[in-house]
Amino acid sequence: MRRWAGRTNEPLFWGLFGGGGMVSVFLMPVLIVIFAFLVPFGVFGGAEGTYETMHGVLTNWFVALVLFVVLALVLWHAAHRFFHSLHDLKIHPPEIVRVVIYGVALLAPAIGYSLFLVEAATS
Amino acid sequence: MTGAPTSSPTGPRPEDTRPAPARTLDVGRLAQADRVARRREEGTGAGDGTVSQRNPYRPTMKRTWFLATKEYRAYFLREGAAVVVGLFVLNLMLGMVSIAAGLDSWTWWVDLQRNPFVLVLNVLALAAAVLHTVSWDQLTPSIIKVQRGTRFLADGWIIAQQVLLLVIFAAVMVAWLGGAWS
Repeated sequence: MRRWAGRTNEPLFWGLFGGGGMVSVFLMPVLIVIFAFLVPFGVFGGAEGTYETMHGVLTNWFVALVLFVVLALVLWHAAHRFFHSLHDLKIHPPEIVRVVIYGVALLAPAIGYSLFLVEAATS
Repeated sequence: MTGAPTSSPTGPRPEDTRPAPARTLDVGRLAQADRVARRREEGTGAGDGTVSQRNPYRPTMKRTWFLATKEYRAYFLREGAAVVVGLFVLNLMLGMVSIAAGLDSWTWWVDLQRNPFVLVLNVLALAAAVLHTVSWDQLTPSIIKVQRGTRFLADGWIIAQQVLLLVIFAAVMVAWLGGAWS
């Protein structure tokens, strides 16, 4: 207990934020162009074609784990910036708001991956 | 000025009534110092060397401060953009679960991306992601310093490395979805 007295958890929060920012640089523009525009508008053969290509690879538990962890970093980055923007807007929320914001960034990938495993096992 | 003779301009001032510096912060004493200083200023004007009149700076910051200048707007746009990218990440996780659940749910998710509301969010997300990439590319050379001998690697190489990663990732994704390995 005493070892942690007067110390801050900010390096941990900031380190994950920096990691998310770093991977977001080269991942997000590509992922958004492909999955928000090219795939829905049929460039890669619509839903059937992309399902054929991707289903086998993505349902591997390890590939999915890596993808969810990387996406979790980006989500953490977003949560971190969102929380600190509240301060910039002169909103100084109670501690519970911080817990909820970072909690979404932690729980959404965890729940997503759990659902993913369940769906992959039953389909 | 009183008529006291002063041989040297740097010598002690006979009329100096400033109190000795307080050892601790004493509000009453500071107020007294203010009064003395103001009286001296009114009496002798500039050139007295008095700088002790307290005029504390009280910053005022409106809630809309970030609209004030171009730099503030750019800063706030960058911070806010992350939230839109975060929404797309949630969307993408939903897509991951959909593709695991089977072709029907994957078709539902792909069709969902053509919903006008989702489409607008996706366009905003793309703009936000590009803004993030550009702003991050601009700041990383200040943080990542690679030493080569006595010099540092030029900024352009740090940026080029990130652009290269983006190009490689895009090429791999397009090749994969284009059926290069199937």
